[in-house]
Amino acid sequence: MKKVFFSLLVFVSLQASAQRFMTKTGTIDFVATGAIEKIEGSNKSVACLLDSKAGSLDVIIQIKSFVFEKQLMQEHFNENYMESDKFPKASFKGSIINMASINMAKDGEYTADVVGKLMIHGVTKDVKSTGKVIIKGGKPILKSAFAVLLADYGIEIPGAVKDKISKDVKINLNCALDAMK
Amino acid sequence: MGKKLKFILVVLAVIVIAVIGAWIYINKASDDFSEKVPKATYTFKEIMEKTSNDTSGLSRLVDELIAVKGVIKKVTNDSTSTTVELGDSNTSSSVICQIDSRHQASCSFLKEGQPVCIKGKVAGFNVDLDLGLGNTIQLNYCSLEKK
Repeated sequence: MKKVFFSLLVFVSLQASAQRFMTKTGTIDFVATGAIEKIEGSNKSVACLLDSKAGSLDVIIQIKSFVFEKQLMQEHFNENYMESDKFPKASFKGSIINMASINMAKDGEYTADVVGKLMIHGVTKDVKSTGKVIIKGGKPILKSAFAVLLADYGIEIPGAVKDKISKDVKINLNCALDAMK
Repeated sequence: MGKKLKFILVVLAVIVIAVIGAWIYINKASDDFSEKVPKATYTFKEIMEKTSNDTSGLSRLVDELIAVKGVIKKVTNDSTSTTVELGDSNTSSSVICQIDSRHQASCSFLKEGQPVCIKGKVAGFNVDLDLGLGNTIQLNYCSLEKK
């Protein structure tokens, strides 16, 4: 019993003392609700890396990894809007500026203030957002919800459907990270 | 039946057929690749070698259906999806397979350490030089290769 308790203690301590956490199976979902229809896409293979000491945060997204229920939606998304052959990736490179207030050793939900550069469709913009870091068993889960204006990233909506498609997209990020070995 | 009535019926029929055709085209579900034959089958080692010495060859595989034989490193499940990561403990490089939701049930038994052959459409790849994430190849609309 003592052995089990000790092993558990060592495991939890190692998780808590780990500095870099990552996943390659994070999730990004987006919704664009327009007059014609609701466009929803989901990407379950988002790479996310957090350095808990420095607070640095990197997110890498393959655009073609977004899946849609309808094939036509996927084709339009990749060919007409995101031009994914030309711009295959989106990324975020930034940091959690209040990392010091997040206790990686204590389970709980913390508010994270994030700043950095968001690159979509080959256009990079400075962004600022608030998210959540949930610590569970020494591992962080990152959650954030934010909106992106398509025009800011040079994503053009074809004239014929300009008034019928949402000009902004609501994005949800959810990454459950593991300690890097 | 008068000529005029015949003409109206033909026009109506054409309109109905066009509307049905357009509806089918717009609402067509994404392709299901589970019964399709992959262009090629690779071992995990073979496909990962391409990320370091044949990225142009790998680029040509984007949008193609391939199968990869490997060992499951991680399985991520939620209520609507399963994502399988193929790899081994010696490297952070991996192949990420988003299981097609239509075949999620048939993948429910998958577990870490299990050897599998998974096929899917290549969505892209990432060659990591500085973050320590290792190289990654991503497959979409995946299912288990039965052969």
